[in-house]
Amino acid sequence: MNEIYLDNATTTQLDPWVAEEMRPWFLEEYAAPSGHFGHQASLEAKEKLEQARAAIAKSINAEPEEIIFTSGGTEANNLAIQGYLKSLKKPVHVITTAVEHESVLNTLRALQKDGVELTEVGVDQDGFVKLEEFNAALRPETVLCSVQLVNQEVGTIQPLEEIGRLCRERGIPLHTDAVQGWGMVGLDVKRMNLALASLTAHKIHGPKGIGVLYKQKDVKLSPIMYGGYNEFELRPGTENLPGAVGMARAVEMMKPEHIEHIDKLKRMLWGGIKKEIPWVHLNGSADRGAPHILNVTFDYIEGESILLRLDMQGIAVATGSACFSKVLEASYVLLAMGRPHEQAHGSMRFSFSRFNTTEEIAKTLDALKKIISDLRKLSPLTPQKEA
Amino acid sequence: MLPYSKKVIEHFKHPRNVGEIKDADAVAMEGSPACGDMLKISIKVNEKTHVITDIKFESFGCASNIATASILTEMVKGRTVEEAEKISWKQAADELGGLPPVKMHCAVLAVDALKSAIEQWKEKHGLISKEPTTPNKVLRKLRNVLNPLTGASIVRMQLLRDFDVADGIITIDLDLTPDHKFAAHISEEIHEKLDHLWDIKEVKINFVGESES
Repeated sequence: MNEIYLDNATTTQLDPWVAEEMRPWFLEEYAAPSGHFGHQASLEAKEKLEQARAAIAKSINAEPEEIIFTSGGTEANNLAIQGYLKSLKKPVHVITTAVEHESVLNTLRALQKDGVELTEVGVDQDGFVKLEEFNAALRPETVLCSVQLVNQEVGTIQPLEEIGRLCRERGIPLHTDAVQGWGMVGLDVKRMNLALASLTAHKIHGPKGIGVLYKQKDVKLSPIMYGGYNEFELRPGTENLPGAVGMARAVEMMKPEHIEHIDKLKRMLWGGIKKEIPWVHLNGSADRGAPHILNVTFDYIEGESILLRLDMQGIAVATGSACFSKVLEASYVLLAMGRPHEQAHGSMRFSFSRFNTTEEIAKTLDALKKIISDLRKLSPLTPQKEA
Repeated sequence: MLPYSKKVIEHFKHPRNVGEIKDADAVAMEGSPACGDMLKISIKVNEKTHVITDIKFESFGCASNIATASILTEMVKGRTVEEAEKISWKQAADELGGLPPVKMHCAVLAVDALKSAIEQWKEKHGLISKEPTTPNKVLRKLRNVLNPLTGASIVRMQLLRDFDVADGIITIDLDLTPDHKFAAHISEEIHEKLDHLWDIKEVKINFVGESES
C-alpha cells in the first residue's frame, strides 16, 4: 500500500469508527431486516436499517421513504435512468452532459439502441455545463435530465440549482449523480428540485458495495432487477445492513472542519505547484471546485510516467492520460473542456481526504518538483532545457 | 503488482542514451504528443563501416515508451545500420522481458523511429531512393498496427478485411464496429503509420464489422 494516498476521488479508506459500527451487524446481529412481521432478530435489524435510512435522508433534506439502498453509485445510476425510462411507454428524449461518469453515459448510450434519443450537452473550459446549450436542448418530448453534482476528474461543482429551475419550469424530472460530491459540497434535494439522486458510501470513508438512490415520492420508477419485495419493491435482494449502517455513520462523521482541512491541503498543493513548477495549468474551476479534487496538467510530459514515478516514491494519484485508460484514449472530460489531447495526456488528479496531512502534501510537492524536472529533461518538447 | 518486468522498470527509472546528438547524421520523430506518445531518435553513423557510433533519444511518453527506446539504443549502438534495421518490435519487447499486450505499440513506435532515422541516412547517402507507396508497403506498415486487446497485429488477427491504394488515397476496411472499445485508438495508429507517406494524400478507414446484437 502507498504511504501517501491522494486518490480519494476513486475510493477512500474506511474510517475505523465506521468499521467498528458495522462490526456487530456482521457478527452478532446478522438477521435479515425482513419486514414488519418476523422474529425478534429480524425486527431489530429492520429497526437499524430504518435508522440508517433516516440518517442518510436527513443528510440531503429528503424523507426516509425516499431512500432506496443499492449496491453502490453505478447501480443507483442504472436504476434511476433505466427504471425511470422503463416506466414510460412512449418515445423519449433525455438530456445529459458530456462529462458524466461512465455509469450514466454508458447506460444512456446503451438505451439509444432501444430508441431513446439522447443529447449530451457540452461544458465550458472550466467544466461547467453550458446553461444556454442545456436550455436550448430541452424539448416537449424531453422526459429526463441527468446532470452530475461534482465532476469526478476536475471537481467542478455543477450549477444544479439553476438546472433544477430550468427543469421545474417545464416539469421535467432531474436526476443527479451525486456520488462525487455527497458529504463534500451542499446537496439539498428540495432546494435543487431533484427527482432522483445517486449516492455512494465509499467516497466518504464508508464501505464499498453500498449506495443509495433517492427517489422523490411522486416519481414513478420500475425495478430493473426482479426478485423479492425489498426496498419498496424497487430493489430486490437481502438488504446489506452492515453496509447501510456504515454509510449512515460515514455521512454523520463528515464535519465542516474536515472539509476545511481538505480544502487547505488542496490550496497548499496547488499553491506550491504554481509557485515552484513552470508550465502548469489548473484543470477545473479555481473558485467553484470541490475541495477534495485538484487536477493539474504538467506540459511537455505524459501522465503515466509521472504517476509511476510518484508511485515508486509511495505516492498514489490518478491521471487522464490515454496510457492509463482502459480504452487507450485521453480523458473525455478534459477533451470536452476543450483541452488539447497533449494536455489531457499530461493531466494528474490529486484527491484528498481528512486522513491526509500537510506533511504529506509537502513531501508530495518535493517529489513532484524532481520528477517533473527529470521527465522534462527526457522530453523532446520541453522548450529550454535546464542545464 | 505493476504489469511491467523488472527490466522495463529499470530502464524507465534510469533511461540510457538520453538527449539529442548535436551533429547527428539523421534525426527522426515518430508519433505525436496528441496521440500520447512521441519519440525522437538521433543517430551518428560511420560512413565507411555503416556502424552506428552514437544514438540518443528523447520521449514524450509512458513508462514502456521510455523503456523500449532506452533498450533499443543499447541494442543497436555499435552495430551496422543493416543489422539495426532488422530488429523487430517483438525482439525489442523480448529484450525487456516482455510488455503487456496493451503496451506493445510502444515497441513498434521505438523500432519505427529507428527505421525512419536509418532510412533518412540511407537516402542521404544515395543508398535508397524514394519509392512510390505500393500495396505491399501498406501491408507491411499495417502489420505494425496492433490490437491492444491481444498485443498482436491487426493483420494477423484478421481484422483487416480489405485495403486499396489508388491515386494517393489509401482505403482500409476493418472488421470492427465503429463503437469497438479500441476503434479510436486503432484508427489513430493507422493514421500515424500511413499519413506521412510522401505520395499519400488521404487515408480512409471504414469500420465495417457487424455488431453482435
